[in-house]
Amino acid sequence: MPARSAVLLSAFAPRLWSWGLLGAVALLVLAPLGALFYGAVRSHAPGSRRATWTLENLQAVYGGLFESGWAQSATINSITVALPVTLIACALGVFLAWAVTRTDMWGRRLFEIAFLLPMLYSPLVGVIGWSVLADPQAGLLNYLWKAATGAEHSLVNVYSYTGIVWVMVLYFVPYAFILNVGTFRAMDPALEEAAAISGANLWQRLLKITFPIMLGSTAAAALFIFTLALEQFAIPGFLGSHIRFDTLAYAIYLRTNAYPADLPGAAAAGTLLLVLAAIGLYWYRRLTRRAERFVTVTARGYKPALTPLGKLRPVLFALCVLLFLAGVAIPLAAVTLRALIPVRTTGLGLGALSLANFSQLFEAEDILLGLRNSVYLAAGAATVCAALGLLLGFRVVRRKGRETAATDYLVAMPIGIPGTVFGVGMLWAYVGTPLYLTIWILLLAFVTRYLVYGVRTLGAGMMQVDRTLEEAATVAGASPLRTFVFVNLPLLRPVIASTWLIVFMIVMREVSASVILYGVNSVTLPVLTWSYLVDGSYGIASALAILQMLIVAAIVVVFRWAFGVDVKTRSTD
Amino acid sequence: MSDIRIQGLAKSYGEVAAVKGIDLAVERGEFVTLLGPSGSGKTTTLRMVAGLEQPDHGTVEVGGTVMNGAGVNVPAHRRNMGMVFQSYAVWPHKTVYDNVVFPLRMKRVGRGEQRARVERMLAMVGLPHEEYGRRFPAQLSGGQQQRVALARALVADPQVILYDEPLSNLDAKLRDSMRLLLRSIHDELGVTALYVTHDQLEAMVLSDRVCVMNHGEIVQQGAPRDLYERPSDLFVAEFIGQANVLPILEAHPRDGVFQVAEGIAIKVPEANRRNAARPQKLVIRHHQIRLHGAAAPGAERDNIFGAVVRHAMYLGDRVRYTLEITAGCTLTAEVVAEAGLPEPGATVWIELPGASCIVI
Ligand SMILES: Nc1ncnc2c1ncn2[C@@H]1O[C@H](COP(=O)(O)OP(=O)(O)O)[C@@H](O)[C@H]1O
Ligand SMILES: [Mg+2]
Repeated sequence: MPARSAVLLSAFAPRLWSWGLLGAVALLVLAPLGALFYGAVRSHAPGSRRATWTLENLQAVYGGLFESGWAQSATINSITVALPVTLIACALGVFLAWAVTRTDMWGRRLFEIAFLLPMLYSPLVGVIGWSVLADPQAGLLNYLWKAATGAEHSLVNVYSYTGIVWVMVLYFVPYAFILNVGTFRAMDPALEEAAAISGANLWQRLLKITFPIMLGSTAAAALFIFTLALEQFAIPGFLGSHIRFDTLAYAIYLRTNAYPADLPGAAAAGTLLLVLAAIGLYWYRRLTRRAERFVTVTARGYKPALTPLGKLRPVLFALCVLLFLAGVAIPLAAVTLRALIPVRTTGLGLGALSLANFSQLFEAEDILLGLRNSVYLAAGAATVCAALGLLLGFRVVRRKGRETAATDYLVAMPIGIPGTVFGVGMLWAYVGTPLYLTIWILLLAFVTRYLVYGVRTLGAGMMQVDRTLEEAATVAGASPLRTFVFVNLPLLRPVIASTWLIVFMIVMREVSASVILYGVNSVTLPVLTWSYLVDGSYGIASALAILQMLIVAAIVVVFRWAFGVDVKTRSTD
Repeated sequence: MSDIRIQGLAKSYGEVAAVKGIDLAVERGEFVTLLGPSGSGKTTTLRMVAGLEQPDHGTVEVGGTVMNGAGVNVPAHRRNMGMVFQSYAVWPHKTVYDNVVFPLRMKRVGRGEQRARVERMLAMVGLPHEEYGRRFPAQLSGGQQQRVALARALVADPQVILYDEPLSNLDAKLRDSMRLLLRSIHDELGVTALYVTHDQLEAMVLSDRVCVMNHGEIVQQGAPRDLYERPSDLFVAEFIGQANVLPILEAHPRDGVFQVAEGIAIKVPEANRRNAARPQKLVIRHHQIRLHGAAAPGAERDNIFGAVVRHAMYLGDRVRYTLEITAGCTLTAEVVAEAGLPEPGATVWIELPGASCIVI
């Protein structure tokens, strides 16, 4: 009976759609993950005739944890870096967030923007900046120190455990800051006021009410930062390479970059880093599940009364200025300075400054290629993520069901996979295809990894759109498609724009997966920055880092002007 | 003796003058309400009394101690007050018991006494400790959370208790029972109370005295009944209860007669003339207009007019009429619904009892 099957089909068609999307997302996300585990139990690189099943790689990594060797030391190094970085960055982040949102400190609004600046540039800026400043031989700080005191020995050395922690802390403070600012803003100020009325002074309020209430979300933020610190590739990678201090993320990279490449070994090490990250994320999930005990949303529309700091006002202000100088201004200035010094000059004469490095950028074939690739990739990935995010976010929010819930979960998975590990997984998954070593594998990797921003941001935006607005259009006779185009899309414009912007920014600075997936024709700006840095061409690396920052800043300004979008939503990597 | 004495209190936020010089005295044990529309400066006034906001001008004295004044600003945590917030502000990370005991801990009350006092307060607000003490706020309904907030505000024997629209987040039914609870607790403990609301019914039911606020000023204060029956201000007349407001075209103060339309002159007794010098409006409440049906009442009564029924709206227990006395002069009247009431189009006699008319 054709009529009946037509009815059946139309009843199931929407669900078929959802199941189809689930299938596509599962394929996209699970391919690199599955390939990683497959690779970990193969004896040779993909495609090799001699490849057989083996447990040797896994044994080398997991067995190696219990005896001294690279597996053990890399694991220990990763954790001993990530732990203090998380704690210090979070303490500073909470402090800054409190000072900016809840006190009458001078220049609060300015600081709020200033501390978000590092979101615009890549972690390599900190690396280059502090290398220029604190290189044990040629570092600017050491040079000044020796000149001023006549001392023989250097003052600071960035190529050390402390140096790595220092640069990473400064890199992650903005993340801790942005995550905690949200919590402070969402917290009903009446909670603190009720404590004041109850007789609690400033310290008692902070210690007994404010911080305990924030603890849940701060701990969640800390775990989030912990996983980011664990997978951080560029900072500990470059600084640690001078003293053979390898973290897991860097050890994985070394295995893919060695000759001959040890791809099975990289995959096996990747599974270990994945397990560590998963532990952090598991606890993150557990903490955020009981969120209702921690955050209550404000009822009053306007800003809370600010805590008067009194005599502490200049102290807090000075602390914030110091943090800004150390975290943003000084490294940026150092990178700029280095970019203006031609390669072979050693002196510090201001006369030696020139734009030679920059003009060189636009002459070198590889750099023009990288520039083009980066912009294409960033814009492409941003567009695809926004479009797919719109489609998936709409279904996740409006068509609640098991298949959409699973889609939502799957889409979020890749962000928990460390960049280098994800790169190795992508490599194994697509090595036999024509995508391999082209710009397309990078595009696919970025889309897979950052689709979650599209789905979550646009889903949240969609949730804000009152359903009755759609229903009104439907009642007025609009088809679902027309309703979507004429009602949802215009309302979601700013959310779409901010999603696009976030993905664009992140792809423009992505190093860790790119550095594993790129080929001769698919180099990107961050990969080139990394290569020049590793080769010791600081001047060009600096100029590249600044170029990348200028592009992102220009796009941010354009978006602000065109869509009124700000860079407030959390962005990671 | 006044427990709270406020003089010339003023506060601006940038360009916005939120409170423009308020004078108010609250007696010991009195329940005083600030009533006014949203944005009239009630919350700001209350928060200045609490010490959460600093006044630009004026003084606040509580129990004879200057809290805000020349060179004095006692911080909120040293004012010995209780406060109940609109958003409950119950601490989500503490149990019910820990929430309520907090002010006692801050005051360093002994352990045994802490427990006894918390249990007594929890019983009083209807959340017995055995059942609710160990729960977290997330496991309580909105009404129960507000009870916790109430217990917390009262547990440490505050000098005064401040309420900022504590019932406005609750649904109608809960609000009724919470109102009764608030008033019975006030009668039992007798703590001086300053209460803020935009709901006139709430203000009427709870308060000994109501201060009506508008645009940052107190426009009239008095017992609830006084305000209702003898508004001295047009804003008060319109804000509290529903009233007809008729423009006065011509006034004859000597005879006490006020003309509100062509051929319509209304007699108002001396006592009801608020603004003898320049009378502007005549106010009469909807329910105070009397309908006499088709038969004319005795000629000895004043203010009797013929009118045509334009609309009749059935409100269940009452009927609301739109009555036209002459062209361009329409009144609204509300009467108890009963058999034999006039239908639209009918001509009726109506009476505006002089004692219910107010000239402002
Ligand atoms: N923190 C603030 N910042 C700016 N304006 C405020 C603030 N608090 C109150 N106002 C303004 O002051 C006026 C009075 O506010 P409020 O005291 O909250 O009124 P109410 O409680 O009667 O609704 C309003 O116009 C309000 O917008
Ligand atoms: Mg208010």
